[in-house]
Amino acid sequence: MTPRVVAVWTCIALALLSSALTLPDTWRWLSEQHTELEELGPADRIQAPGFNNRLPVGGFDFFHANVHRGDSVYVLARPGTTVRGVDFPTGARTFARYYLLPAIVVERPEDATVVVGIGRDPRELGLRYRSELRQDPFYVARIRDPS
Amino acid sequence: MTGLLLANALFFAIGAGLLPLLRIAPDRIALLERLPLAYPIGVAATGIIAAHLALIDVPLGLVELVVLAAVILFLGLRRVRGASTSYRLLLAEPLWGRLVGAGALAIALVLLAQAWTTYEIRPLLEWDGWAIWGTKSRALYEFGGATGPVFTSDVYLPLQHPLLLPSLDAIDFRAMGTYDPTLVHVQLALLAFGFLLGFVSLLRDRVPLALVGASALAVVSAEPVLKQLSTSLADVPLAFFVALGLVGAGRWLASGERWALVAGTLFLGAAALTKSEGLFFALAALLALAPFAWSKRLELGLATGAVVAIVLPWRLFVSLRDLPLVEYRFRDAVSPGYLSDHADRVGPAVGGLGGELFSGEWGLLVPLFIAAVAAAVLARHYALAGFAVLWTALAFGGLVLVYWISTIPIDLALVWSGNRTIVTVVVGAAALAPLLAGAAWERRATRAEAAGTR
Repeated sequence: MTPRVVAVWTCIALALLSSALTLPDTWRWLSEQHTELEELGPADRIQAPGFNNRLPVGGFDFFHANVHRGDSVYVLARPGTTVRGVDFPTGARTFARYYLLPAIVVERPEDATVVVGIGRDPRELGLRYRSELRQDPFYVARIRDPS
Repeated sequence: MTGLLLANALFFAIGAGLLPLLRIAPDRIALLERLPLAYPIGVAATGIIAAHLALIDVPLGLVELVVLAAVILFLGLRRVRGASTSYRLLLAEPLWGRLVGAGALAIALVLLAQAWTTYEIRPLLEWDGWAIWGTKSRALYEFGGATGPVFTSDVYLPLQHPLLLPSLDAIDFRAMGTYDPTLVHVQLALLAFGFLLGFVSLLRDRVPLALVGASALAVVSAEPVLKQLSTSLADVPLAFFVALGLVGAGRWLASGERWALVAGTLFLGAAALTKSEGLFFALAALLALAPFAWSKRLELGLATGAVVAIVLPWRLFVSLRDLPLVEYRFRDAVSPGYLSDHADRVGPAVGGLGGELFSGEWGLLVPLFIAAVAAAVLARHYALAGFAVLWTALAFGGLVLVYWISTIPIDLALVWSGNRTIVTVVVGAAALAPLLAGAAWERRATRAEAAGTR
């Protein structure tokens, strides 16, 4: 047997050995994930990104029910931190970007058609609102309808 | 689920039409032999088209896919010639070797089936999965394109990620008729399946099945591959496209078969539209080919031009809309002053990425690559060995450079992304292993044939 052929067989052996080393852990991880996740219902799966990052998903459901396609949303959030270490206002605004689609999040309240508050009352901003909804500590204050 | 599967069947049909159109399979026998390649080719091509159309607010749904598949199939099948040349290279592989290979591939398929059952109930959990990729996918579905604030406003930073993967997801949502952030994970399992199909199709007539099957299993069973794939981040899809691109390009280098370069180029182009660093990995592959394929520089130049052409609309979009790249500036990579001022980041970057490279989670993929390079050298396939080593060095060096010029504190940057960015380097290098080691086997087969044993 030439060194070249030995090298080829070594590669086959290494590849099989590599699989033998990693496959059980990968299989176990997939199985554990399956067991853990099959308990979730459809609504849980939608809300999972928020729950997984300890964001107040119930409040965002309240917001989602009261903002619409075409809305520009300003997120007014209390101070604090999230599990990722980012400050809570940033975490809440990031989650709103995803969860409130097709409404759009904006940076300045004057660009918004609606202000949503988490632990802070939109009246703090001194804007004139057409309607205000409250589900403590969450607020939805509408400035105007989407154009 | 039916809509998602239908969309994927149409990806296959588009790929089947592209095989003859791109001369990857110019005649009936080649088409039959390379038909499994149709799925990954179709995914890559449709992803590229959908990502480009998104830039001008044209959504791709089931109806458009049916029309696209019908046109491409019609044009492609018209180009199929009736030649009867078999491309199969006779390999002196013992029966048990083939059994080992088939067994390994069967296990890989079972593993992917297990991944499928987990992915189809897995919601978006990881931060970047929903905050970046999920948001882009959903926005493409909701708005049909990428000209709105989600893709252009600073509120939605980071904006520099290309759109191939979100575009594929958006096609699936349109095909399913709803936004389902859980079920869409099945697309990721199908991408892994496509990688397997492409990997085997590109190698099976040049490399013993034992080597192809064992290597494919080693790659997909490595813990980071299916674990990270489940997160909906683009790192593993990027690694799959780069790996298929490298295998196609490597095969062309070893055999001169133009079809392999065409396929490889398409995959590298798809990689360039999957993540920003995809362009770097793709250009590193073409650059690594250059010293060893100088006599075929025209073909290599065309391939480079094709990759640039694929990525150009996206780069123009980024440039014209002045989308910021928040984590680093490319010009710092060529600024001696900046590099010198931040030289203290190099050591931790090399150490951190090196640690990820040799992490036990990868099993023996790195030793496999090293052994395969040694086999190619022993078989005197210096060009192939040189290409593989040079690409790996460029890819690793490029990653170090990105961490060097990054504005994020180095420890934090490595913790956040070191285990993800290294995936393409490991998977790409490991994917080249069968081609490298197969070079030694190929000579043995040729000699056996010359001796009249087959």
